[in-house]
Amino acid sequence: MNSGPRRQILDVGAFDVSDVRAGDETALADGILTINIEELEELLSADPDLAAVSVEIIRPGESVRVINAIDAVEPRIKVDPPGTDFSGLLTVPRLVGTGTTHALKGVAVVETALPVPGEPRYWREAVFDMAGPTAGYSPLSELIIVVVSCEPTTALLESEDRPTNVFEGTPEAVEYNKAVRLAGLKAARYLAETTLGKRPDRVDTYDLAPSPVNGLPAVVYLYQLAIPFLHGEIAPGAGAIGGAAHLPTPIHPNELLDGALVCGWNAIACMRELTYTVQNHAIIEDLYARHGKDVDFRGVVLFTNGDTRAAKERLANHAANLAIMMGAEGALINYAGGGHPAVDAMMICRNLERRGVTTTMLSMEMAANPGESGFVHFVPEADAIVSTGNYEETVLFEPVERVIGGDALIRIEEDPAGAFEAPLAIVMASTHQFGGTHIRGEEY
Amino acid sequence: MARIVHYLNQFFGGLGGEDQAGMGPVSEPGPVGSGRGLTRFLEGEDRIVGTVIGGDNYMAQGGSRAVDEAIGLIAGFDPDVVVAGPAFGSGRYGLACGAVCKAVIEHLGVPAVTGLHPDSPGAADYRAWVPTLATAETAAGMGTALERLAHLASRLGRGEELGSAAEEGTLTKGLRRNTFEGLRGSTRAIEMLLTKMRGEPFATEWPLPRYEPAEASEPITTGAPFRLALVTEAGIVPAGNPDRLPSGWATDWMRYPIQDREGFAEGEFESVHGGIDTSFANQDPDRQVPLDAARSMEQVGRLSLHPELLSTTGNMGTLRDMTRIGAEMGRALIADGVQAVIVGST
Repeated sequence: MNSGPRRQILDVGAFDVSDVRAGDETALADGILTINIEELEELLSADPDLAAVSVEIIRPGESVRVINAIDAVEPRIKVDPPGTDFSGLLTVPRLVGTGTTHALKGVAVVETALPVPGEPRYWREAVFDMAGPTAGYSPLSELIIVVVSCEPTTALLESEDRPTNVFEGTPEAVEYNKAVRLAGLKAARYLAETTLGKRPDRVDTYDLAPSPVNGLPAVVYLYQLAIPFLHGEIAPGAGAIGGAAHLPTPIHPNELLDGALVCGWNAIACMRELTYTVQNHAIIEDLYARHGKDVDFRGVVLFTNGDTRAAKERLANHAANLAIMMGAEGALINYAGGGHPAVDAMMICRNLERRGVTTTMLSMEMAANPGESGFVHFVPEADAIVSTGNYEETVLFEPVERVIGGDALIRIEEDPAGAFEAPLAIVMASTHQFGGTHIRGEEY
Repeated sequence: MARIVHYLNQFFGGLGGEDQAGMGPVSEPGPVGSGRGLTRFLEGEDRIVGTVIGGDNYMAQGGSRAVDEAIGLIAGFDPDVVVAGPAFGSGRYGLACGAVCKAVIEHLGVPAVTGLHPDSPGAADYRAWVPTLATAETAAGMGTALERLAHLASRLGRGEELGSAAEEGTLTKGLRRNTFEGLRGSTRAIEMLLTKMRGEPFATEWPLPRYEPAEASEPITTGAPFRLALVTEAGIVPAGNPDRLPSGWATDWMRYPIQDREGFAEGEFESVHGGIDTSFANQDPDRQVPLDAARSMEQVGRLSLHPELLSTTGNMGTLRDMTRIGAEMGRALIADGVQAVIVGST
């Protein structure tokens, strides 16, 4: 009865998109994506948790600022096996990371949503510009963006419920945020449907087969999750929502690239784990590109953080165990941001180094003032760190002609179309933890 | 021609050694002491029009008032640029050079430059604000330091902006700013990892902070009652926070009398710490700072309790401010004969 190939190979067919336009029919031709805006709005507005949804197209270089952004998604559709898009959210949980997926390259769907009562707002401010000095900070500024703006229902806007968990928000607010994310995922799949039956411009194959070259340095990637949906559930033990930390788990990198992991929470914008940055996970992409050449990529260990000393010790020991069990001689560790996670990531670094595994970490910095190192926590073993940028640096936003996503910023009391200064922290994915951008901090 | 004013301590100003360390700032026209060496390297018509000399102890203990006195004398010479030191690795002198230069820049609007060893206290405290030539640790490096300081002074006097720390041989400000690399972060991380695995030299992009090692004190073994103080960085204050202790970025600390208290009652004290869930501390501040337990041990003769709680907020505090606050608290408690401290931490 054993008929399967015992392999997990993912082919991502890439369709390069040079422009996106509004038109009568949603279709892809000669690299130009045309969208029937009304049809897409109608599809997305069917959700009873949203009062209205509007769709706009914006391009790099346009004088536009997007505010109240929630997530970004690369338009993709599962061709084989079909019907497995965004496992656990648009479908029941499915095997993903295998078969064929089509992706529209150079495009992202970005949802915006007005904040509602009962919603944690402390970290929610999320902005990016398509032109001007701040455009260079967000990877989204280089893409053609299909903005899906969602409006909450009147009942939700007038709700006087107060959250029992301030990190999570009221159940209504949680439901609303999930509906917004689902709208983004549906739009992404809808747009990628235009590729069905077409030949991609190129195919990227992701195959974790044992390295054909012996003796290459064996590397495991230890991926600290913030708070994503993993197959539709908030990842066990993740961050502030999860309660007791679960043990780290090994996971096939193809699953992560193929829609199993979706942004599930409005973390600080600069470090928000955007679905787009997971679909195009820089560390996983780079390890795959070198697998069998100068790296023997052994796979991924997901971990979160404990909220007690005991939980952290358990988690950090187990993460190192898994990496060593997978044959790691070297390990890349990313830090998800925040207070607790810094301790867990550093403990794992220490455990691995003490057990003979060479480590390098990727970390954003938080140095606001003279005399601040920007570290939450460190161990002496963390002597090799790649900086993904100092998110406390103040950046100047210049006036823009148009703002999408609302009339007001959340914590910044300035005209959203005007000039203002703010920390880089509010710019979407600007210092994100996978090192997908070119920014870094340096001492001066 | 740039008018330069030189700041020196009593020793390098030729007014005496440690016996004169308590002298307040005085001024003299023209160059004095090591200033004569500095003069030789100044460019063109640039010259030292006056020298201000402050005693090490006077400047170290006099706070902003002592600095203001020195600034007043400096301003009297109408300088285009101020040079302080070089003070090399010295503690008090280096701190005075840093404080004087910072005040000159901020209050007189005049450029200033000093020369300090990178590991000196003055460098740690003032490098963010004051261009600081990196010097040797001792005055054996005087010749080189004077030549380079003179060069920097002449350029600042002409209104030039200094280049990067690497170009100028000055200390970095110790601040972090963003820049863009050719390779993205993930690619750099793999390169760094492979280099480290090969045992070849690699450079972390984010050096770990250097903390002074804290030596643990000897345990108290006499068995006699010992003097204990209660300290906290949890922002424990009388209800209503009468002194406005901030919930983060504190730069100061408070003393609150506790000699008449058996413990901290709910509603009379509270935590203003902005980085923790304070509800448990507010319900029972004794669980943050164990006054009730300490008092009960005092009643059975195990210890004697210092009459004040020393409190600050550690949340978001800079290493520099917290190091200073810790040292200030320590000095105050040692002066009161305290032998042991419990820090109710967050």
